[in-house]
Amino acid sequence: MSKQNLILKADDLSKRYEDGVLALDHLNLEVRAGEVYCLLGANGAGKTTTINLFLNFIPPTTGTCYINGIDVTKDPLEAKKYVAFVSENVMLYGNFTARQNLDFFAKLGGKTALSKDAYYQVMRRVSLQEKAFEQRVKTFSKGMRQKLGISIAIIKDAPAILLDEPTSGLDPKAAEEFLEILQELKSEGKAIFMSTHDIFRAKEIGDRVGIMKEGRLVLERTREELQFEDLIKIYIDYMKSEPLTA
Amino acid sequence: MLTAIAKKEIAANLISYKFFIVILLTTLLLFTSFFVLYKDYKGRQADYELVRAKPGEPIAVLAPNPLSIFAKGLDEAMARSFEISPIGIDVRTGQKSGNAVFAFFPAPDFVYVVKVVLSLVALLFGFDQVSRERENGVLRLMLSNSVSRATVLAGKWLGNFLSLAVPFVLVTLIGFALMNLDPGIRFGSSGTGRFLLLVAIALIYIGLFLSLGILVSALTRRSASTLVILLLIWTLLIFVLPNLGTLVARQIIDVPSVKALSEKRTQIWTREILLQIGEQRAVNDRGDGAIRKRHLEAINTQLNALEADYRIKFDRLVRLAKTINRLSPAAGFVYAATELAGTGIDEESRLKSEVIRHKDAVLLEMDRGVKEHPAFVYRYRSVGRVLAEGGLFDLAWLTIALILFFALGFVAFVRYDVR
Amino acid sequence: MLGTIIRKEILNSVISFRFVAVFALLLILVPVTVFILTNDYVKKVEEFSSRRQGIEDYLKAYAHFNRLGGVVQPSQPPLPATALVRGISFDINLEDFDDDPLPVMFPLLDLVFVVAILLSLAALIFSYDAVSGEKEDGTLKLMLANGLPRHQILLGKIFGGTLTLFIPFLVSMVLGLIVILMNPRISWTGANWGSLGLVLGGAAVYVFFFESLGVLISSRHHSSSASIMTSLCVWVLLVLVIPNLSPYLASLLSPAPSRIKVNREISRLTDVERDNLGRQLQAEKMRDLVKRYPVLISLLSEAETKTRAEKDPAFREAVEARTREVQAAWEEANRIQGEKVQVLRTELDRREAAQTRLARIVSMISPLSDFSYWATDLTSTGLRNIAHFNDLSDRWGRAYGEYSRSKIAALQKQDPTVDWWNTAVDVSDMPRFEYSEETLAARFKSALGPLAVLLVMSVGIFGAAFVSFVRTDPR
Repeated sequence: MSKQNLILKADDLSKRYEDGVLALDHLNLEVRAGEVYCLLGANGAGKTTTINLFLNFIPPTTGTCYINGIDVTKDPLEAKKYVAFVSENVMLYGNFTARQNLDFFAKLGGKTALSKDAYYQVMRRVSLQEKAFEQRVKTFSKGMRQKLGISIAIIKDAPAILLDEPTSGLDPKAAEEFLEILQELKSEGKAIFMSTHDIFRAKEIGDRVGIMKEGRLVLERTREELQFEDLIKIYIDYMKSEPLTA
Repeated sequence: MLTAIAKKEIAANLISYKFFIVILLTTLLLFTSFFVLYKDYKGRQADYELVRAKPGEPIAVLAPNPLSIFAKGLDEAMARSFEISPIGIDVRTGQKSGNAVFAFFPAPDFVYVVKVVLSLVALLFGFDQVSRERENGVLRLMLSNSVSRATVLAGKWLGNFLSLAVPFVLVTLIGFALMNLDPGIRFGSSGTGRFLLLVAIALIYIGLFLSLGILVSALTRRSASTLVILLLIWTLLIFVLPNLGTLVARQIIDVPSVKALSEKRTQIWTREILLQIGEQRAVNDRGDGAIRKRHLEAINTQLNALEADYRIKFDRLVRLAKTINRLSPAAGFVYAATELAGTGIDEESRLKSEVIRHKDAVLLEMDRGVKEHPAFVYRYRSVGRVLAEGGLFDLAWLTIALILFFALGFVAFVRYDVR
Repeated sequence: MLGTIIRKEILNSVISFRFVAVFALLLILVPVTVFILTNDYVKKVEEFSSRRQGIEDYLKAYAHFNRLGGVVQPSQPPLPATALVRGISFDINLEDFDDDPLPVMFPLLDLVFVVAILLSLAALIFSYDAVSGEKEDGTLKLMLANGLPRHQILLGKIFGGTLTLFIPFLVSMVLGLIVILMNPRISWTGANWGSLGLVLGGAAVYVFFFESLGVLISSRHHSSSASIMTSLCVWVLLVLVIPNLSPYLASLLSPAPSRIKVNREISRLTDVERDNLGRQLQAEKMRDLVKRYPVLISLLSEAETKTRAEKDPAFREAVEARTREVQAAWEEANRIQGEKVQVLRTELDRREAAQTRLARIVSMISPLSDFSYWATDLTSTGLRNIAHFNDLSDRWGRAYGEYSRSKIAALQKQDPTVDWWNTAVDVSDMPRFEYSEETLAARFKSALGPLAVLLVMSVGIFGAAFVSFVRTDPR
């Protein structure tokens, strides 16, 4: 794959917290345009830490994160122009309608001149019910909120999308719909990075799958390689095996 | 970006329960305060019409100050009538002293509502700005965009300040305008100017507490803890610190109580009168003569000395009390507001000095047999003088505190862990 | 089961941040306040005794009946209870030139304040999420699913909450009392301790009221954040607004005549009108006298009168008669005008008392007022003591009046030619004003009203919280 499509890059990334815990141990990964990368791992394995580092919510101990070639720690504001974030279980502004939430985050993302129709279009695209467009978000189910979350990411139209456990808590139908949207975005050339527990969906949608254990990327397989290996078995084996640090 | 965030804050406030109930409370309180204090002022005005000095009478009495509707301060004490006689000053008080419940609780004037309620309201607007948005994940979502933390904080501050300030100023101006409809109340251009300045100071005070609320919000992880901390700080700043300062100052500086002073006064003049009568009797002197004159002068000299000595001690006490109290912005606000309105401690002190000066002049005339005396005219200090004599200090201190809290809040927010 | 619930409530609170914060604040604030107040009290006692000494010194040399009344005015001595409860400040002293502006600007701090404002706020802080919080955490559902009866949960919350708050308060009070006991200049009588105990009992009811109120409000809201807003607004109204508005409301609804107007009228009656009446009566009496004693027509100086009276017994009789009649004339004038003044004063007092009563009643809607009245009346620092003090003053005033009348009469008998009104006399046998507190029983009886109101309101709020919680939707 050519270097110029490299959107997300973690270069020898490590993070040790103040209490001494090594959350990330020399992580190296790359995500290109039109590619979906799924990061699997147990709770506390380092998936969310990775995302937090990409978004400059915490500084790395060593190593660098690059978004579209920009060092996230050196120029965070510039870097964030090129990434959209879908958080796990975000409550959004409960008293605002879906459209009002979308409008606010669109403006934050730099899209200041969009019309109401443009918002409606995006919300339709993610299969959010029409009647929900002008309803208060606090009445939404989890699935509806996730859809709204992804529509916020879509409307930003950034080359990279980071998702933190996007399908957790969704019923199977909603999860399928969500993944369909991700497929569309991938074919539009977005670089998609997703942390998840969901092995099945990871296998389905991931162009590349990585497994994290105790802060280390212990395994990385491409879609082709996974046709011959049972991801589920590998994953469970890793989870059951002895801890890496004695 | 800043305006987008500010607009969002305002929009969110307008549809929130918190905003609704808090603004309702504030509006209710402000209008009630205006009405009640307005009636109180009218009553005192009616009293004044009864006691105002007829031309030539040796009475010093000040008309009640219309600005006392907003900052009652010491206006009751200042509007007493001081009748000058050779043996001292005869004081007549107004209506309120008959109902003892007045002495139990402080007057609910505009300054009180701002000092107590609006500070709490501002804290309530600020306390969940950071911690709550972190708790429900929205903060992370915001900061995943290309917007600096400074912008986010400034937008929050601006949006919430406007949400507070606009209804507040509106209600206050409406109240002021309604009062101007009464032909019996004349604020004049000076009064209106002072009033507007008072509103401006109130806005600084409100902004200060908003900044404090946001600061503490950016220092805590859970909004429930933020609230408890802020409520306790609020109690300390509004109720404990201002009052404690006065108490502590009294321990350090010895000032005779006012009752002791009154007793001494009575003893001085009754003693002198007795001595005078005794001397007159001894030489068969019946009327106004040299003996009487000498004793009246002695009374005046001793009373003035007593007063001067008390003043010195009292001024020292007030200065120390003010210094300690001023640690609380609530005290600074009350000082600035009352001095500006002309109902503060310094103004009252100045009035008393003027009354004494007038008394000395009148006594001189009485001595010479003059029966008609010039009227007592008191000019309130100009705004410039009020500022120069401490008002500017309080104003600056409030502004610095606002900037300081905002800056600290900014620093805290930049380091805030948004996960 | 109830015991378990209460224990859980207490344990849950004790390890919470808000408990530690409130406890720490109380532990610091109460002893510091008490320390400052006791020093203040000791200073006041010293000043009071030096004032009395000053008066006694004056009386030794300058006591003359014309002005004596003004010098020996009754005054309230500082009470030991003011180490804890300040009550109404007599020291504002608006009646004299030297008023004290500081208490007007910043009402002074005392135990009543700490309880009234801090404890009520703390009670709301502790209880605002009593129900809504457990709804949000999902623990309410859990408790109910385990078959816990609702009324027990409620009782556990309210009583647990009250205990959680009240015990630290008692601990800080004990510290404060140690401060008082350590000061050798303060001695508390049994009645003082008794009244303190009663005050603390009232404080417990007060805390109970606000705990119940917090739980009631909490059960009406689904989210704790809405609940705290409502709680704070209600608190502001009850504690900071209603008491302050009540006297103004009362003066609108039950106006009293303007004191200035009445004083003006009284001045006129006792000054100009009395002088005119006195002169008129004196003239009448003189006309009769001259008919009986024609010798009195001649006007002599005081010295000449005295010499002639010594020599001429008939003249002395005439002079004595004149003195008697003149005095009688002025006494008559004083009496007539005095009655008129009395009518005015009585009416003023009646109307002012009515207004004060109304203000007090209106303010009693606020539990803060109820507790303030309870605490101040029990410790003789409140409205009741003002009335009691006025009673004692009146009684002393009458005794003094008796004394001055009989003393003057005796002196005049001795030497009728001396102007005894304006001569220094020996008043070592004059009754001195002595203040004593009312019995604890009397204070208790008068303070019972506000406490009863507080109790009734507490029971009412508790009942409302009960009903509301029993019906609340746990989801």
